[in-house]
Amino acid sequence: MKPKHYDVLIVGGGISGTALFYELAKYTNARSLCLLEKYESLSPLNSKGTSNSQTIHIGDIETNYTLEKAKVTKRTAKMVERFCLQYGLEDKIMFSHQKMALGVGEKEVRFIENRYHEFKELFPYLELWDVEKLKALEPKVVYADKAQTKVRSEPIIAMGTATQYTTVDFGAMSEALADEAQKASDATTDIFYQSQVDKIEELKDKTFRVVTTKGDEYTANFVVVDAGAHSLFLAHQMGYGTHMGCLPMAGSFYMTDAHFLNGKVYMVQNNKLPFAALHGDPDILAEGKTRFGPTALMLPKLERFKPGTYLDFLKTLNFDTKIIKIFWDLLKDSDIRNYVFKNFLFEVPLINKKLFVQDARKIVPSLSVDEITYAQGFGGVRPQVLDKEKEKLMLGEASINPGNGLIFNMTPSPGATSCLGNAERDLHVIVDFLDLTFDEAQFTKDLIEE
Amino acid sequence: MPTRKKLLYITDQDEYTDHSFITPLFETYLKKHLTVDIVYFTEFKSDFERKDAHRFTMPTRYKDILLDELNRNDVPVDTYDYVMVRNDITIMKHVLDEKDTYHYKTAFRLSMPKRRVQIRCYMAEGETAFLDKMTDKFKTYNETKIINACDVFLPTSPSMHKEFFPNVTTKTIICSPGIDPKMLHPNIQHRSEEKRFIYSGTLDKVREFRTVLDAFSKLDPDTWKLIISTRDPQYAAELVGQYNGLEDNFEIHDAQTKDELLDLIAKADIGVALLPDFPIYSTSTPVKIFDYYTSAIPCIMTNAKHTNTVFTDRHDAWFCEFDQDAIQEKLEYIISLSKDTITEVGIKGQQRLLDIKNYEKIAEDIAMKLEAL
Repeated sequence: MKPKHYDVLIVGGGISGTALFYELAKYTNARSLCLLEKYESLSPLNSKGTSNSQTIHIGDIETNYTLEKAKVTKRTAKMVERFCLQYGLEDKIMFSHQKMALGVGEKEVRFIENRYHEFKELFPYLELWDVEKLKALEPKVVYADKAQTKVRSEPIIAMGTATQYTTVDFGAMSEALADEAQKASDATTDIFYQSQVDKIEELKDKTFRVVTTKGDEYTANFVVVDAGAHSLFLAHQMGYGTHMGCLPMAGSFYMTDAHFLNGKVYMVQNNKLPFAALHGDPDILAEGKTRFGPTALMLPKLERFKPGTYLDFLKTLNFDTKIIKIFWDLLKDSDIRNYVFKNFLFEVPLINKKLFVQDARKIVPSLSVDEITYAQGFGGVRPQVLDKEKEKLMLGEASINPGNGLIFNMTPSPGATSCLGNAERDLHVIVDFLDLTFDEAQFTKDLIEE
Repeated sequence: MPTRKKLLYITDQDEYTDHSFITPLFETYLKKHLTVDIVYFTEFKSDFERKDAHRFTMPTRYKDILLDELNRNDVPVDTYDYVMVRNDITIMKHVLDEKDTYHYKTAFRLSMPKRRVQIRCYMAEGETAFLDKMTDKFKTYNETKIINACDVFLPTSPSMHKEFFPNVTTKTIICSPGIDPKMLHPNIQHRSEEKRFIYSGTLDKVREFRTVLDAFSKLDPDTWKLIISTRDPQYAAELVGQYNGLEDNFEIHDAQTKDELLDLIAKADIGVALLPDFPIYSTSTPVKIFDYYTSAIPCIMTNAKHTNTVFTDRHDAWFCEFDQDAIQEKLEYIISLSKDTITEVGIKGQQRLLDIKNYEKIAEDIAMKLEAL
C-alpha cells in the first residue's frame, strides 16, 4: 500500500511539535499535516506538568538573560499568553502567581538593584521589594526562624511582580494547541499516537519517508523533528548535526507537604551553568504545595521514567575525544565541578534531603528536612547540546536546518515558553520551501499585537 | 583624511560598576582622538551583550577566550590598533598570545595592584608564611614578564610603578585619576555654624578609621558634623555607635551613584582623606580627593608623596600625619577658620587639579603617546 503523503509531518507531540502543528493549520494553506507521537498521549515527557516548573520565562526575573535576550523571550512568552487568552484558558491552564528573583548577599543585592533599573523599561510592571515589603509578600524568605522573629543575617532584595500570568500547564496547552489546530482548518490534520519514528529517509523525488517502529510508513514534503533529545538522535541517523552531541540532564524536585511559598521565588543564576538556579514554585498540579528544584543530574538515557533509551543516549552523545575535551574543560571549573558533584548527591537516598535543604535554605532559611519530600515521578530531561566544533557546552536551544526540507529542534528551557516563537521561525522556513501562503495579518492580530 | 585609530579597552569591572574613571577619560575625552570600544564583564548574565555601539558586556566565563567571543559576536578584533587591559593579568596574557593574529599594540593599565597590596597588608600584620612570600615573588616575576611583553604600561602613578613593579621596563604612560572639567560643581556655603566634614569610600579595619573618629570625638561636638558615605552603612553605624553622646554628629549614607555622592559632597564643607601609611594609599591619590574637589570642597589628607607633590599645605589642602593627636590638632585648626577661607582653599585646590590632573589633558597625553608607539 502506498504510504499516506503529507505537506508537513511533525515528529513529536510535545509543546514544540503541537505549537507548529497549530500555526501551520491555522495560518497557512498547507493541505495536509501529520503529527506523530511516540506515546499514547500528547506531552508525555518534558512538556508535562510534572517535568518542570511550568513557568512562563518572559525574561523579567530570569537573571541570566541579557536585555537583548529578554526582548526576544518577552515576545514569544506573550504569544503563549495570547494563545491562552484567545481560547479562554486563563485560570484553567494558565495562572497568575506572584514571582520574584531574590538576591541574597551584598553582591547579588547590588546586581538585582541595577538589573531592575535596566529592565524596568521593558517590563514596566516590575517592582523592587526590600526586606520590609518581602515580610508581607513572602515572609519565609525573610526570616531565619520558623517563628518569624529573627530576620536572616544576609542582605536581601527582590525584583518581581504580582500582576502577570506566570504559569502554564504546558502539557494541557499541547492538547489545546492540537485541538484548536484540528478545528481551525479544513485541511487534513492527522495525529497518530504510539508512533515511534524509527527512521527518516530522503527519497529521490526530494520528499521524505518516515517509518515507525510498528512498520507504518508516511511520506511528506517537509519533516520537522521536535522530539527532545531524540531530535539529535534522528538527525545523526541521517548524517546531520554530527558536530553535536547530546548531554541529557535530569532534573528532580522536592515538595513541601503544605502551602509554603506564596509565589515563585527564583535565585540569581550562575552564568556558568546552563540550568535554572534552584527555585521554589507553588505547584499547579499538587494543590497548595510548593515545589523546590530542579536539581541537575547527568542521566545516561534520553527519557526519564520510561524504559530503555540507554543505547540511544550513547549514540546521541556522539562520544569522541572532543566530547572528552568538553567534559574536561567543564570539570576544570571548580564551580561546575562542585555543582555536578553536589547534584549527584541530591539523588543519593539518605543524604539527599539533608544536602538539598542546605541549598534551598538560600530561598527559605528556616526550611528543615522534615518539611520536604523527594517528589517521586516529578522531573524531566533537558537535552543540553555539546558543540564539538567549538568544543563547548551550548546554552539553550539548538536547531539543525540543512535547508532540504528537514528541521531538527532541541528545545530545553525556555523551549516551552518559546514554543510559538520557535514554531513561527520554522513556519517561515516551511512556507518558503513549500511555496505556501501565510496569513500574517491574522497571525499578528492573534498572537503578537498588543 | 587619515583613518581614525581604534582602541579596545577591556576592563576587569562589572557592567554595573560606577565607571567614574572610564566615563570621563575613555568615553568622553579619549574619544576625541580615537574610536574607543569598551568591554565590561558580568558574573550573572549568560550571553554577550551590546550595550550600545561601543560598549559590550561579556560573561566572565568567556574570559579565557574573550577575543574569539568578540569575533563571534561581530566585534572584529583585527580592526583595533590598540588593545588595553585593565588589571587582569590573565586576560592580558590572552591578548598578548593573540597579538600576532590580529596585529594590534598592547597596553596594560594598572589601576591598583590588588593582589600585591593584599599580600603587603598581610605581611604588615605578620600573617604571611614563607610559602606566601615565595608565591608572591613568583607571581610578581610572571606578571612583570607579561607587562614587559606589552608595548606600554599605564600605572596610576610613578610611585605605584616603583613600589609594586620596579622591574617593569617597558614604555610607561602615567594614567592617573583626575578631575572632569565638564563635571565641576560650585562650592556651596552653608548657613549653619558647625563645619561639615565628609568621608566617602570604603571603611574597613585596614583603613583604621577609628583613629579618625577618635580624633573627632575629642573636639567640641557643637563645632562639627561628619557625613559618611560608604558601601557598608551597617559597619559605619557600628563604628560610630561606639561614640556615646555623639549620635547627632554623624550622618551615614550609601550613595549609589556618582551623582548621589556629589550631591552629598555639596552639602559638606571639608572632605576627609586620612588613610594609614600603607603602600596602596601612599602610591596614588585616592579617587575621593578628586570627588571632593569636583565640588570645590577642600580636603584634609594624609601627608604622602602623592599628595604633597600635587597640593600645598594650607594653600589648597591640609596635610596631616596619620595619628590621633595630629588629626585632632589639624581638625581644630580647620574648624577655627572662617567659611570663606575654607571655600577659598577649595577653589584653589580645584584649580590646581584642573591644571595638572585634568581628564581632558590626560586623554590628550595618552592619545599622543599611543600614536607614537
